[in-house]
Amino acid sequence: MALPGSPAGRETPTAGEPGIAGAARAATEQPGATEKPGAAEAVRIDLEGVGKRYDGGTTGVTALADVTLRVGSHCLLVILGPSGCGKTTLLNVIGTLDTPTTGTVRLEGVDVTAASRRIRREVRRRAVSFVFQSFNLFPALTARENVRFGADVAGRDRADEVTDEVLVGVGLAERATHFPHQLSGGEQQRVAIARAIATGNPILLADEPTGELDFTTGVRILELLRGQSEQGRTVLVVTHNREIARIADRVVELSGGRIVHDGPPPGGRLPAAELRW
Amino acid sequence: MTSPGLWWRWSLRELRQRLLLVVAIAIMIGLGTGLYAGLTSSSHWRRQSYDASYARLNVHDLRVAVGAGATVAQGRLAAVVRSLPSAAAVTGDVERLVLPTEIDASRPGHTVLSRGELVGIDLTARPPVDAVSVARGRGLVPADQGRDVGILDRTFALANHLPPSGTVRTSGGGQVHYVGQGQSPEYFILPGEQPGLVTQSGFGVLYLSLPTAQRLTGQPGAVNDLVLTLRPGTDTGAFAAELSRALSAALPGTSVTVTDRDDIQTRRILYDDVNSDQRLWDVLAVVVLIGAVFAAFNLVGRVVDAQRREIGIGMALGVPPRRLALRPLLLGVQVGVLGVVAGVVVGLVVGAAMGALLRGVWPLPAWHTNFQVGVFARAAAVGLVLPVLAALPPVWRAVRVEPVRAIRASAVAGGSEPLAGPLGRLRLPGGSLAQMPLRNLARAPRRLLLTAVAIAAVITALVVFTGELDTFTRTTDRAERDLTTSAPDRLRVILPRVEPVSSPTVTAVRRSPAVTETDPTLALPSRIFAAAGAGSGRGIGNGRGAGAGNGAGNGDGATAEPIDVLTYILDIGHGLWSPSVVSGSRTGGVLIAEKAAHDLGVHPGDTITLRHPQRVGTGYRTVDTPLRIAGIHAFPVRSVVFLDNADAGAFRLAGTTNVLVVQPAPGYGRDAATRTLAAIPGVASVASATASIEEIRTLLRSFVGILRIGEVVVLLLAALIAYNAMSIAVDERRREHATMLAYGLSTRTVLGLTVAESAVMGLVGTLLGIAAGYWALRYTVEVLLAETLPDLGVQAILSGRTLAVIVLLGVGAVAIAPLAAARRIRRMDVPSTLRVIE
Repeated sequence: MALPGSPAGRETPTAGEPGIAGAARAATEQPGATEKPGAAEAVRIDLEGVGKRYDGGTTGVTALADVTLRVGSHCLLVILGPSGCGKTTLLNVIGTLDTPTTGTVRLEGVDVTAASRRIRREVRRRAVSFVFQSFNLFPALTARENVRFGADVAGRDRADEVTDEVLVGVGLAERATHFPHQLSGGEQQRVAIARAIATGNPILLADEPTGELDFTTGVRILELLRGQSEQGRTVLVVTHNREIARIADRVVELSGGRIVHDGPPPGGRLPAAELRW
Repeated sequence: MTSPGLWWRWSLRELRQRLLLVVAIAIMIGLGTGLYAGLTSSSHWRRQSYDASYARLNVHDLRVAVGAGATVAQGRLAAVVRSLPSAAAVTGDVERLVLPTEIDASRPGHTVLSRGELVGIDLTARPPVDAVSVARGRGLVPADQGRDVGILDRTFALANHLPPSGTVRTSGGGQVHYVGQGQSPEYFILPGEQPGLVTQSGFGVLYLSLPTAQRLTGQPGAVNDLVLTLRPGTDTGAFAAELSRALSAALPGTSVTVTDRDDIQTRRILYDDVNSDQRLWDVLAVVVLIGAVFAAFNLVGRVVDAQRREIGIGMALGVPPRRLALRPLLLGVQVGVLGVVAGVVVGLVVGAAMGALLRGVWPLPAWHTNFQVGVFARAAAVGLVLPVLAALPPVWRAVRVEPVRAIRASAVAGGSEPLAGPLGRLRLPGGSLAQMPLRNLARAPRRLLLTAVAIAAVITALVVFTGELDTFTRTTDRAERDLTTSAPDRLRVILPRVEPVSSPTVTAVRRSPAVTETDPTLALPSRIFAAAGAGSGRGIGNGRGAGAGNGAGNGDGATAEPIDVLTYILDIGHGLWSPSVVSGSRTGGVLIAEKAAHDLGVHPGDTITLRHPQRVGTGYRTVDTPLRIAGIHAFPVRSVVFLDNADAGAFRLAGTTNVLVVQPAPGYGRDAATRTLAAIPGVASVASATASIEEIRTLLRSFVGILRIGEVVVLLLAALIAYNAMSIAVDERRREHATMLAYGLSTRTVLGLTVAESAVMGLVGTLLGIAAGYWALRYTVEVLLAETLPDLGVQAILSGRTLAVIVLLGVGAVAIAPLAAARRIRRMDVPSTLRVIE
């Protein structure tokens, strides 16, 4: 299936797979719930031998090397590693903010490796949503309007209802009319997550979402993200905090741009409330 | 404690990073101060150039003029002067013969026919008084006495694009070869036909030797004028009185006036205009400077605002606020220093343009357009201080805020403004994207206000500049429309004196094959004043004879100051052309201009006093006649008064004329008819019906030129403000833009939002600017111009077309400015921008 509005032949969708637009459209039907449990087999993120090298004159930096990764729905995946290991680069490649130097990236079965700017933009509107470490809320918009922005960008029907429901979902209905500067850091991050949820996109990418938050607030944020994966979304969380990795369904550890571990968290998954850092 | 060197290096590095922005703001300051310096320099230049020009040509201290077309024998006036007990005080005297003429300087394919004067000078007199400077060709030498050679007026020659030497024909068929172009003090500017107006192409002066002038005018051995200079320290007034008494005794029955240097009308106009012009230029320059200052204030403030987080960090680290304030204040100093440099450059450029303009409008013998150190120093001081002052409020705010607030990323968003909350909560239609531009503006009302005021200040200047051009255009159009309501091809045959309608000259004109219809009229110099204020101004008889006085009203609202006018007596409603009225009726009294009515504080139905010549036997006397104002005529020149023949009994001039309005015969073009009529003996000159229009345009020429210079400066300023505002706005919004791009919005959409926001800001600024500009336009036109051009009735007009252009420019330029950042947004490193923690 071709991406909506994309020129024919610009992408190489795999026949029989639902495709980005289809997945996005399905997600719009149920705010906060993208797919029913049981559909976990669908591969949403498919990376094959992905590498990324930044050229800096005579010296170059390899940020990613031969990364192969497949992620389905109903999955909270934590990408773990120290600073400079390439985890944010990986997130940006998946989010189509960056393009790999080598390898293939498929999202919802669509090859976006060498996609045009327009198609990559469409992917970001319909398939992936971001949550940033420093929130990046629009300061002129209230919490509600920031969330509404997500619904508007994705072109969702009933944007008002979706917005209200998502705000209730993140526990910010009472703070809906507040501006970002009137909210605490945790509240701002919940608004940022709500904005990402309101898009209805099946893939949620969170870059150090608890990096600016205290422990208690961070746990609440992680519970929120956990809930999203349980409702069917694919949630990727980048962090350097090993404790956070313990709430994940799956942990991918990077070192020097390579995957050095891929599997369930060591010692098994814990409820967020039992995390300590 | 850190060393000052660190702060200085830090500041210099920042300067390198934002050099373009700092230079752009500095240029804005430079445009404001430079325009001020350039315009203000011109008044110094004018004064010193006038002084130098008059001194170089040995301008007279006193002038003796024989009136009413009479002459006296050559040597008679000089003899009276030399017979005075105080004759030793005289350092030079020259007798002249000055008579009106028609100047025909036409060449094949280029017709030049104008009224003018022949000035016959005794070339042997030493030292020369009111000498003729020669700009091109050669001057007259004693060997030219009696020869048909002369010097043509430089201004007239330039305006009519005449070669350095050539041949001109004068009334009565005379022909003179002019060997050079030059000027003498009384003709530095050329008088218009209407009192108070001036001309460039419409009045030619031909300087000849005295014998040549006598021969060409058929007045052998006659003079009617003497100019003299006095030893420094001589009591000019006492000498003039002594001379008047001696002339009255020596020349009984002859009207002779003695006037001094201050009575030279053109000289008075030149010097008076410097002050009144300068007030206007000051206002215009200050308007532009205010625009530049507000813009700089806003932009420097926004740059400093962006440093609030760093200031907060500094405070958190315990750095004293004084030290923290240093770096942002250095930005103000950098802008100021560069602004001074830019101001000097702009000032020199504007000055050069002004100098060229002044030389073109007033081609004086001496122009001193030297660098005005004092003026530039003042402008430089303003340019240096203002950016520092602009940096102070945001620095003050920044160092007073709690460090914890300053270092919060979202604090930079500016939610702390008092109005931000209420405005931010306004319910707006549309989705979040549609609302974002207005929300962004509402979140920072202070920034919106400052930016809008900066835009408004520039728009204000633009409205004033273009509005004045509109006003001038409409004024001349109005005058032209009024003069051409009927018989637009008509000519005015001007006679040197009042003659019976049956005189040979009038008969010859009537019978000329070049005319089909002749309408005898009178044009008489007079003076009007409000009846209640009769006698309050300087009368015609000002103690030194019966010459034309100088009681031009001051135009400062209603005044009882008398107004010098030319009263046209004609057959209203029945002649070839009649004046139209804007209020009242055409007959049953005098018709005066709207400006005259305003200045005198009178209306139709009121009575004014007309001081005019009245025929007594073969001579004239000056009398005051109360006359009812029948109506207000449409011609925008204050010095024009119309009176129907039926109401002109007080003049006792029935059956006489000195201006014949004629309709050229079919087959006679304007030039052919003019040439034919000017060749009739006794005709002084021939003018077209619309000659006054050229005089009005000439009067406005210097203003139009300076307004054009100002317009260019303002447009540059507008472009710079738009660019700077855009540059800073895009910088401030880079994280928001990156977020939008990360969420899949296109660069076009992001730009569209920025454009919409800028457009709203531009609209607010433009509307404010138009409102303020219209007020400023009315002030400059109705108050300042009324003083600068007291004889011209101008009303502030802002045409719909100009308004549309200003709105398009104000909104459009500001709105499209973000498009210049398209590349910056398209190439934005979204991940890096999003990860930056402010």
